[in-house]
Parts: sequence; C-alpha cells; structure tokens
Amino acid sequence: MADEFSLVHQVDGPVLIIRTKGYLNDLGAEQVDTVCSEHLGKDIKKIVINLEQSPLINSIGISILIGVIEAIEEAGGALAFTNLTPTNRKTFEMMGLLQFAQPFDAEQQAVSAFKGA
Amino acid sequence: MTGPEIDAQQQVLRYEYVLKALSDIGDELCRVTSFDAQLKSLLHLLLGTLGVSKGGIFIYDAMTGSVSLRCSWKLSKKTATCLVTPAEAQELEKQTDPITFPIAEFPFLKELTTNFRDDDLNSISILKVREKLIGFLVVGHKLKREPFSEKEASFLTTLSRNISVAINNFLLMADLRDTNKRLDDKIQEVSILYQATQMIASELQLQTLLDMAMSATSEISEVRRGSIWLYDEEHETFALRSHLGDTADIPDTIQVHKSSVCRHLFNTKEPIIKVRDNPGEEPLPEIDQAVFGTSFVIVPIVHQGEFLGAMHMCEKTSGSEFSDRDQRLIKVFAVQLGAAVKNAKLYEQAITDGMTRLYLHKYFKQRLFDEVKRAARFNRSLALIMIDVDHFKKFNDTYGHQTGDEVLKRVAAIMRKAVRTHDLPVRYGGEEFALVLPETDMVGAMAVAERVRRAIEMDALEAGGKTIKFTASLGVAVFPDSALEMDDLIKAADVALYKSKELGRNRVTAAEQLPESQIRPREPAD
Repeated sequence: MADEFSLVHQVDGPVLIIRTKGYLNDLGAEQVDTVCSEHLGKDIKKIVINLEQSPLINSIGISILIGVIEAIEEAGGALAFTNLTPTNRKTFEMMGLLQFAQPFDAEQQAVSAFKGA
Repeated sequence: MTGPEIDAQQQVLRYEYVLKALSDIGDELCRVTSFDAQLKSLLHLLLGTLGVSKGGIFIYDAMTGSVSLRCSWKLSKKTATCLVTPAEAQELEKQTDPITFPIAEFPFLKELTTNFRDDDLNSISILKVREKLIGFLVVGHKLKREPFSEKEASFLTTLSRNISVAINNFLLMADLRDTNKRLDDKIQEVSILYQATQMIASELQLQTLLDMAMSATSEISEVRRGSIWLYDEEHETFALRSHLGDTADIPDTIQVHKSSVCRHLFNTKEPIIKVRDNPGEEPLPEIDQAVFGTSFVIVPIVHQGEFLGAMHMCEKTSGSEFSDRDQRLIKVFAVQLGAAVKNAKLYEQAITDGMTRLYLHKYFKQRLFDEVKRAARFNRSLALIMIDVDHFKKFNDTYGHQTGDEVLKRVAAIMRKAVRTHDLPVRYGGEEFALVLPETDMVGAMAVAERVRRAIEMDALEAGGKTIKFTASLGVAVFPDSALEMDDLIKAADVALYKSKELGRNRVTAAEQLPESQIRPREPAD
C-alpha cells in the first residue's frame, strides 16, 4: 500500500519550493499547511508545490490545499502547482483550485515565472 | 464537445469525486486508528469534497447534555463547550429534514455559534443516527465565498449522514471494547479471588491460614510488604501473626491506645487507605508510620460484626498507589478471611486447653497418630517428650490451686517458647505435658528436653512474699529407635519419665533403644 507521506522544502530566493512524496490523502499531508504557514510568517509569499511524487490526491489532500490557498490569498502571495497528473489536474480544475494557483509542467518553469514577476 | 456536453462531463466528474469521498469514508471506518484521528480524516474528507477551507465536529454527550468541539480544521478556537437542555436534545433528535442550516438561521446552540463569529462559518448540520443525537458539524465557505450549489448542499447533507453513522459506529465499538475490557477485568478479579479464597477456605490451622492469606494477598495486590494482625481482647493489643517482607521495625504487638490506625480500625471497623504526601492530612504517629508505612491499605478482618484483626499492605511492586481495583479485591478477600479466621479460632479453641493454651490430649493423639504414619512413610525420625511437674500435689496442698495453676501456666509458656512451628506442645492431663517433635532424632530431642528442663528449673514464682521454685522430670522416646507404634512410643516416653522420677526427679531420661533387629530397615524416601 501507500508509503507514508513526506515532504522536503527549500527556499530559492523569494520562492518556497515544496516537494511532496506519497499519497496526499493522509493526515500527514497537514505538514504542507504547516510549512506554508511558517514561511508566510517569514514573508516568503511565493510558493511552488511540486506534486510529481504524489500521483494520488483525494478529498483530504484537496482540503489541505484549499487551506493553503486561503492563507496565501490572505497574505497577498502566489501559488503554483507543478507536475500534476491529468487526473489531478481535472480534480483541481473542478474544485476551483486552479483559479488561485497556476499549473506548470515543471518545477523550474514555475520558479522562473515567480522570480521574473 | 458542445457546451452542454462539457457541463455533463463536469457533473459526472463531480459525482465521481463525491462517490470516491463516500468510499474513502468507508475505508476510514475500517482503519484501526484512534477516534480523534478518524474524526479528523472524516472532517478533511468532507471539507475537501465540498471545497471548503474550514470546519469542525462537535460531539454530544447524552449523559451530561454537553456539546464539545472534538475536532477542527482552521477554526479560531480549538476548544468550545455548551449545554443542550433535554428538551432541546429531544427537538433536535426529531428534526428530520432539513438537517443542514445556514449558521445564522440555526435556532439552537446560539452561545456556541456566537463564539465562532470571527470564523465566518457558512452552515451547521445536525449529526444524528435515527433519533439519536450524535453531534454537530460546522463548515466555512468555499473559496471566494461562492455559495453552495443545490447539488453541493445535497452532498453536504449526504456526507453529514455518513459521518454520523461513522461516528456512531465508532462510539458503539469503543463502548463495546470498554465493556469487554471491564468484563475481562471482572473475570480476572473473580478468578484471583476464587483461587485466594479456595486456598484459605478449608484451612483450620490458624497460623497456616494466616500465612496463606498473607501470600494470597501479595498476589492479589502485588505488594512487597504486608502484615496480618489479630486483635487480643484480653490485653487490648494487635498481635503480629504473619508478615511479608522486612519486619525489622515492626513490634510483635501494638497497644491499641498508642496507635491511631489500630484505634480507628477497632472503633469503626472500616478500611484505611492512605496515599503518599496528602496535604491537609494529619501525619500519623511515629509507631504507625514505622509499622504501616506512608502509603498503605489496611482492611479490618471482621466476622458477623466481631472485630478479629486487620490485614495491611504497602509498597506495591510497581511503585504506584493502590488502585480502586486493589482496594475492592482486598476488601472482598478480607470478608472471606474473616469467616476463615473465625473458623480456625473456634477450631483452635476446641483443640486447646483454655488455661495453658496448649493442645488437648484428644488432638495430641490424632496428630501423633498422623505424625507416626508420616515418619514411617518417609523414613524420618519423630520424637516424643513427656514432661511431669515434680511434687505438683505438694504445691497445690501447700500454696493452693491458684499457685498450682500458675506453675502449669509457666511450664506451658516455657514449652511454647521451646518449640518450632511444626512441633506440638500438649497438655497431656493434670500436671503432665508432652512435646511432639517431627523430624527429630534422639540427640536433637534430648537437647530440647534438657533446654526445657533447665528453663523450668531457672524459673520461679512469687507468692505470699515467697519465691517458689519448681522442677520437672522428662522422658524422651523416638520413632523408630524406641518404638514403632504410637501407643508403644507413648509408653516408652512414659517409662523414661518415670525413670527420671525414680532417679531423683528434675532430670531427662532417654527411652531404651529397641534391639537393632526390631527396627525396620530404612529405605530411601520416595
């Protein structure tokens, strides 16, 4: 069955990059919210979430990402998702997540876009 | 694809997503996690399915009528409680449709919803299964405060119902687990008590009974130290009769008036439970602290209202305080012990002489018979010492029966001191006594006899301003050296005793040894 959820993060200039690993359907995914909140508090407001290693995202994952979107919106920041599977992209679209976060095919594209802005 | 076709495809995707959430709720129910972890997963599943950023689940406690926030996501408060009146609960339980309300229009829990005003909540749903109120679910708004579509409102109601069932199932399972655990504990308690009471129920020897009870108690409560005390009405003291662990600081007797613990036990016949460092409680007198410790349980041993003594336990092997279970078991055991002690005391009274507190002739014959059989079976020695106070008739005639009785009591006390646990000191009749010493050969028996003779010779009575000395003559016979049957053994010891008399009294004489050919060859014990 699924590996436990884990994530790594790094700050590249004004951008926080989060790379998740494992299914985003576990309460462990609350870590994404925690890491984002910590960096928003440090005035790092541009966040890229690379979901390449998280091919399965269910309602639990969506609820956590909605929380992240709301926090970034309140802080006046920007969010990008990268490496979405076609299924995840459809789900994100349907749930309105992509109205608040731009999808990119690759992490570097999103980081460059944020750095250039 | 045309516009309507795209819309239809979106609808299908949405339904598929909700169905997946319902299936995830089912999966969640099968996972073995804590109630709180499960609630949190259910809440996230619901929020993610609706596209809502915050929410919380409140659980209703039918016993207290309280509604408490048990699980939340992104709410401003982590705890909140309010009370629901029985009438309100009844009304909520009857509410069938709708079960979801805009938060501002919900007529109940006003105090609670006002507390969450800053969270800008959207709606509240009643969580219930059939007509049983489980709790409430509150949710925030969708992103950009988009209102719920009709379909989404319907999803919310459906998911709320599923969550209600999930919570109810979990609570029922938890209840079942609790009940099972309580039942297991009870079975274990009954089994421990059964074994302990079985041990003591048929034991008539008081000392053996008390030692067994002490050992059973240590198993019931897992203690390192304990003691059993019997109340001595004549001297108003507690006498130590059995103990467990170190007894260096414990006296053999405690005078009731010197110990507040003993006084309390005697006066109230109620247990005393003392925990360490209890502020506001008066410290115990020094004697009580030394004997009973700083954290202990003492239960009285009572039979049909008669105070017989007390059973004390301290120092749990785990280092913890005594639990309610310990106290319950000890109390029940003490009731059983009360009946057993009373029986043993009655039996002791029936087989002992009231004046000298030595065993009676009838019991002596029965025990000697058993001991001879045992010695023969296991190829062991068994000694019998007969003792007769010298010139006893003269004592009675000269100093009166009271002084004569006092001499008998003195000799009995010396005999009691001289014996080991399994020896039997007996008042054979009149001024004649006997000592039965299992596992003792002629050399050992002669040593005991000589010690007793000398102790009697050294003793003295004060009567009418005079110091009165007295002596005794003793005869020693040993199985199988002196005799092979019980009656012959008594006879051999008696003959030896009269030889002591003939030789001038105040002496010990060994019975003649049987010819070697008559002594059965000894075989190894089985």
